[in-house]
Amino acid sequence: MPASEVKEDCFRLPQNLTVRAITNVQQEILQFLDKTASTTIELDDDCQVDISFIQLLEAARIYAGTAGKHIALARPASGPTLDVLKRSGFLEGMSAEDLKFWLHQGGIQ
Amino acid sequence: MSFPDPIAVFRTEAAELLEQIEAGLLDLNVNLGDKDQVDAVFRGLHTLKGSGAMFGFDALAAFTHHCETAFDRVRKGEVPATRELVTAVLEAKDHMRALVDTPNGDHEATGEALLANLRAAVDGANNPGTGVFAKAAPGQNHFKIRFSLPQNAMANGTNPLPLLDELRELGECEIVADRSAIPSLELLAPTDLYVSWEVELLTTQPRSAIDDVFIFVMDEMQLDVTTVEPAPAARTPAKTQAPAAETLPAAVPQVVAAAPAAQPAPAATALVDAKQKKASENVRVPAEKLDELMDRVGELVIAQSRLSQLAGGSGDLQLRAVSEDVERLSGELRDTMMVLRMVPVTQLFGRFRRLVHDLAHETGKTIELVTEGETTEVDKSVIERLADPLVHLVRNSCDHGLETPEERRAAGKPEAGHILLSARQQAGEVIITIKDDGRGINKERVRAKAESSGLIAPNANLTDQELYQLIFQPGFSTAQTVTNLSGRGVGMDVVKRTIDALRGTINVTSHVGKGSEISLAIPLTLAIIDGLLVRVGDGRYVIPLSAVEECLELPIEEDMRSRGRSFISLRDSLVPFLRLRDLFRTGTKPDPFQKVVVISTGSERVGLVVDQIIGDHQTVIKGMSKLHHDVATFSGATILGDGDVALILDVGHLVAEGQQQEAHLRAAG
Amino acid sequence: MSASILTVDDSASIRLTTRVALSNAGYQITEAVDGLDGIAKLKAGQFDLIVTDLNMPNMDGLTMIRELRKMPAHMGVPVIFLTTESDNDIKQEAKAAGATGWLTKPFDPESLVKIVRKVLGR
Repeated sequence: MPASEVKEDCFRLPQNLTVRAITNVQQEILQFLDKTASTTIELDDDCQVDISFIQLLEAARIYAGTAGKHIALARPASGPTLDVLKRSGFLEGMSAEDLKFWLHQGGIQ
Repeated sequence: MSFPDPIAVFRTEAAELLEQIEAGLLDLNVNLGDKDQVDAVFRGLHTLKGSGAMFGFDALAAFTHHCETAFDRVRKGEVPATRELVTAVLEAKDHMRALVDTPNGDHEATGEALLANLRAAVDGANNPGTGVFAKAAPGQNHFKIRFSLPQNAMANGTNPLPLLDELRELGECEIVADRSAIPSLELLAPTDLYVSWEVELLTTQPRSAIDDVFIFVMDEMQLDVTTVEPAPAARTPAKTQAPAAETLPAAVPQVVAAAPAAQPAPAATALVDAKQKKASENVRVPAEKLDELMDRVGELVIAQSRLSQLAGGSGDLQLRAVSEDVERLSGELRDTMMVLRMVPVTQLFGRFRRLVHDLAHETGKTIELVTEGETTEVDKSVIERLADPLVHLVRNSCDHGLETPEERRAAGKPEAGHILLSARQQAGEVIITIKDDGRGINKERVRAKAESSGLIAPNANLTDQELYQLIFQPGFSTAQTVTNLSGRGVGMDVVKRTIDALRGTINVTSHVGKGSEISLAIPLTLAIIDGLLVRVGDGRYVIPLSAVEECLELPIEEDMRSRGRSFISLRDSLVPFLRLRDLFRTGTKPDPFQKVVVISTGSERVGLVVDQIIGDHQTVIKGMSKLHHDVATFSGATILGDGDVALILDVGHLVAEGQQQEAHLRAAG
Repeated sequence: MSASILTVDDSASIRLTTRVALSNAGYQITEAVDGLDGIAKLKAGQFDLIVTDLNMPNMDGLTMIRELRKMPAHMGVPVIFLTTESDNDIKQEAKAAGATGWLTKPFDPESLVKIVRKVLGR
């Protein structure tokens, strides 16, 4: 019973994105990234997020970068995700690249 | 293997605790809202009480208990910290020291009086309406924090987010995540924590509040907290108002203000939390063990120099090679030993904060003590011997140098007088400077006093430096009123004697109305010196190399010509010289190729005529026996490589002798 | 949605104190009487936090914590243990077993709630 479903290159993540479920999320994202050249991550509005997930997406960006693949969020981070980004100090000192990925700010593309 | 006496260990510990307590109280006196210092003082008192009781210092434990209780109430916010309370506990602290030193002495009456003081201070402070605490601007602490939680923190149930939230609740807070350690997805252990944090925090809370946030992960995490010193803004007003203060070096100074209790506290004063200094891994070694080791190294250096002499005299190449190795190693060992004996002047300087505090209290002056270069390291035996002269000098500055607030106002100076105590290293010497922005030395008065007490001839032609040096003569004092502190003419001559004994020099500069500066230049280390080994007649002598300026030939015809007038001309200036052969009455004939070794102490020079210069010699100074204590020409003795004894010349004394000879000749001619 | 807490203690009076304090603070409480019972409750459900005693019959607290840390379903769940002394060795052992924090007995209800809030952040 996969908690996520695949539609085109869009990858919808499960609700629980905390350390409790993060090991499964890692496997699923890895598999998905390997299948497609360009991945768009879709987050549930009322998903549960903690730092392990922010860490995971950062790791996924590095992975995609070295594998020559593209990864993006379907919508700018909001709700619980944005809250964790704020509280964990990720928003401070973000590069233009980071702002574009997490908040869809700055870059034209 | 013997264990150290626990009582002795306790005494050492108690002395350290008392110093900590004192430092905390003095800091608190400047910033009554400093909760860190309240905690520090409380902890110190608490430990002192506990260990005291354990080692049978019952009177100490009982007495300290009362002070601890008072500070516990301050800590809990039941009683505000007031200057009265700080002063009461400072006085009580001296009593605690007495209880440590002489636990069986008759201290009861003093103790009761001090406790009555303490109670009055606490009650007075507690009296609603005083409200000092409420009005005192709470000192904000500025912390820079770097931390990383244990890697398995998240897996073991620690969520970093609430911890970060807690940090934010402490005050104004900026948190930046460092994610540079996050690996690529396939390498990520997703439940491990890779992120670490950098935090800047402005808070009224003490440092311990940060520890409280991390209490459950403290042992396994990395936490690096540094206190950011307050901006130097607090010093700016003093600078713009006082022209003399401008000459104070700008290097991050520690400013400690001491004001008489009756006066309002000086405006915000920069404070350095010296207690935040990083604890590093240290091993505590009793000082005697170090001295013992030093002695051994000294013996080794002597044995080594015998070995090199033997090796040098033999044709055995292998022996020479070994000898050279041993020479190098013992040299390195000596250097390492020297470093071990070096201690920062922090503790020495620390004492003066209390002294200045007390002096301000007694004289009714507002005095700001600035210390610089506290990390400068000096041989520990030098530090021990420097304490007394420095006390005299600082007292002198506070008492005579600085004017009363009224006088200062009238002179257009800020009311608070400044005293700068600084230390720095300079080519094998440590320079300790005591500088004030007071009234300066009145040359006319020094001259009048010196003439009336017969130290100098009327209208004698003296340079400023010569004139200033007169204040170090025994019995000399220009103070018109004798105060409790100084002005009895006792002290300054002690300074001179001690500095001479340390083979150091004193330099005085002063400007009327602007202040005085007294610099002490002391050799960094005492026990081993590099010397120049010379022969005079049949004896060999060591001249400290640091004093040697140059060596000249003294051709026999020049020697003949100069008989009767003991001067040589050295680059257009006449330098007096002493014939050591005559001085030591060797009864030998002069060597046909005599040499002149020019030695100096600061600005004074003298030439020493010797028969032969043997060469550089590393010398372990041995003290002279009591029998020879009065022999002023020599400062010590050393054992040469061949087992013979050589005397070490006392440079200061010989220079003085040369100058005297010059003065005589001048007076005669 | 209030957080749910599992309390594990063989003492009925402590369980009661804990339940009252935490319920009043708005948490959902499930009780277990020893380590073995605790593991059974963990297999049956999800909890946001566990408060456990260390000295218990059948299965002691340390063993339960070690077992719990092997269960993927409970990855990262915070565990607070109760200890009678401020004994550092026991703290270290429990931390090594995977505990998150501790509370020293005897405790008052406020400090229990404070610790739970500190760890959960809510």
